[in-house]
Amino acid sequence: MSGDHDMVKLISSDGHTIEVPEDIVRKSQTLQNTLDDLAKDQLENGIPLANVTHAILTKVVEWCTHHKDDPPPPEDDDARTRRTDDITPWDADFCKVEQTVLFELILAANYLDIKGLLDLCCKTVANMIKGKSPEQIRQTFNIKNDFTPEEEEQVRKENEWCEEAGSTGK
Amino acid sequence: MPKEPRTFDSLPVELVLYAFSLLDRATLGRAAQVARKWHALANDGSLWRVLDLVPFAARVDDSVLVRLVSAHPAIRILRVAGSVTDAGVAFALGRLTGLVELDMGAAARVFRAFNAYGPQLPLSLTEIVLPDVAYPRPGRMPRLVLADEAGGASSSAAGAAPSASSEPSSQASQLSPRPGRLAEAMVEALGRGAVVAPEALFVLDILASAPRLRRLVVRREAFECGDWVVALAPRLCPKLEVLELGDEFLGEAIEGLFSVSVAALRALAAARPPLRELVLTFCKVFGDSGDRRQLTGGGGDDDGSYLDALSGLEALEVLRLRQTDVLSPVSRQLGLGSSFDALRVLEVPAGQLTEREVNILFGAMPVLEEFVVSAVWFLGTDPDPWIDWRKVPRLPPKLHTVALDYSFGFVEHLLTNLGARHQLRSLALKRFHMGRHPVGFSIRELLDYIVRDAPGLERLHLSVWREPADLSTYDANLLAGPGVGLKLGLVLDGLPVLRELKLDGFALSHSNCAPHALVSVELRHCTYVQSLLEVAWLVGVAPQLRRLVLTHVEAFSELELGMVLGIGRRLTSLELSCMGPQGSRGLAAWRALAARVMRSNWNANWS
Repeated sequence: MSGDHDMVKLISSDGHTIEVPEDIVRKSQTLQNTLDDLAKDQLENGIPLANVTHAILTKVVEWCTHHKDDPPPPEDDDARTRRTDDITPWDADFCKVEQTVLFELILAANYLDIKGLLDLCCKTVANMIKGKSPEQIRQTFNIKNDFTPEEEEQVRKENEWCEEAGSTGK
Repeated sequence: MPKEPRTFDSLPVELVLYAFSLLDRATLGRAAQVARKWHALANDGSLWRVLDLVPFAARVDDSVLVRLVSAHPAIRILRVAGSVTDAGVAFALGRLTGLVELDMGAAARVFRAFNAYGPQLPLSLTEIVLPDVAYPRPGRMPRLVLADEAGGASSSAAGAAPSASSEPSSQASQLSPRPGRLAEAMVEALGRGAVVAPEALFVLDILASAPRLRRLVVRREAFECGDWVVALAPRLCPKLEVLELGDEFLGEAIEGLFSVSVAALRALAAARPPLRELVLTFCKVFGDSGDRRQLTGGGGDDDGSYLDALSGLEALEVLRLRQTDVLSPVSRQLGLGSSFDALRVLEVPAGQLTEREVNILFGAMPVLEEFVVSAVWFLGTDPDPWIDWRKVPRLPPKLHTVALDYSFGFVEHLLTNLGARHQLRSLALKRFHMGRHPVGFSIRELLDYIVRDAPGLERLHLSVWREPADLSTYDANLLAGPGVGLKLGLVLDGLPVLRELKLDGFALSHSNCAPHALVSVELRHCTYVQSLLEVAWLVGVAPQLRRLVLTHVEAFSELELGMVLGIGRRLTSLELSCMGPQGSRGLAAWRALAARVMRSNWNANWS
């Protein structure tokens, strides 16, 4: 709201510097703490982010900019049923990226402590798992089946009770 | 920079577990079959704090429960279902030392696990929902006669309770020893020589072994034991905060009303539990008239002053008497000086409720925030007399939620009165009937009052009055419009912060406003009077709208419906229902349409 849009310099792990408005940077709990801990002149040279590449940092900033006016997400650690079907179209488009990028985003959101983004990416991953058979999940994430045939049969039996009935319904 | 592309398996365990925590149980079961690492992760204890077997009732039995419980001893919330029996539940109770909530509401075959295994209940248990249909029927279990002066289980206890048992006295001595606390509490609350019905013992045994219980829910077929549970629960479970008895479905069988005596309510208050919520549904509150097989120690003409009795519960914040029949008017119930200093939510039956009673209630409830009047439908449909709101001048200063069923004579005075402080946030007028308003009233006039006096309204629910006899021909009546102004539209101007709108039998009209805050809209029974163009308008101009419910969509053309759905791409929840095969189109045709236009993030519910 205030007139001064202080810019903060962020340095990605591959050495690129980008300037981001402070209120956007503050969406990250980690960077918020850094900003609060450091004096102004210590920030002159920028904040190095050892774990985030330029490409990912750009995506993260894009997300934070779009969501800059969102209220802080609720702290619902023990929510019994968490929904994954409440992704807005913009967020869904945002997550239409290569799997590797999605995983990097998860790591970055976790490192930077941006709960909303972490939730979004994890929901996207969850939605990639939902409705698939074990074999389809393996294909989706390129995972090798390391069960022996006996083990596989045993694990299948073990989880028979919670298979969905024939019609998946609504 | 070493640049190795990230794979799923390279994510740190805690992040994978976080993503897994968003999966439902069935998906998790398939994830466990992917590979060894996935198997281990899907079985991580953090994902097994809640085990809800209800969706899988068809495949769940004792062997499944035993295996799951053995593999996941850290389960804290367990909902059993299917053909799980006493043995399974008892095993689970023995293993799950950290269990805090046990819900047996869907387990039809759990009969008496607790009678046999009660003492094994995990001490950590704070929440129990008892099975729906599993109470032992009278006759299957012996009655308990409390020890008389001489000690020991006296068999015939002359002059015991009015409902002296006709069963052979020998049965009384066959009872396994009750936990000492139960016997003590019973004697203390009921006096020596009282008789306790066997079906109540079933519940009481559970309570006696769960001293930390904070929430107790007893649903169907609880009617035989209501009285004892109310009287004894606070003594056996001194931390009890929430007590719910009965449920909406009891009404299917009117015989199934459970009853609670004023004596029991008095015993409840006398034990001074930290009770915050008391909810009685389909319940009959009766005085100590003595002809019931209940815990009354004998005669005494009680005028049924249950509210007086309950006013001793100092922490009570929520009191809901849903579909509950009470003996006498409030004015005879509440003595001078009785008050409910902490009560925030009050739901009372409409029967016998007049402005006089409302004034007494409001006077005794200084911090009341929510006031709900519900008609007791099994008592008839015309709960005269109604409340004359002109004669209720003093409202609780914090009152912000009002729901009135049928009884809203001069409701505009209530609105004006509340309007002085612009405090009304939620308003429900069910079965609104303009003809029944003392001086006649149109929906348009009502809305003018609402806009003028309650501009801060966040939730609005209006439904049209209908005769019970009309239920079957309801929609035909709507078409014909039996002189209740059904075709009058509701315009949303002037309610800038309205979040939830529910109309039943009314139609919506467009205007120049943009309902910026609107999140949820339900339009029920209104499709014969509602133009879908107006609905499409609403969906288009309400930027926050996420949930839409439409019933009787068979009245719409495919084009109209497609238009609404096309505009409503932001919606995350959409519920549509048809009248079914007898509707103007077959359900199948609508399903086919839905399949074409539905989006994956819509939570569609066709019925």
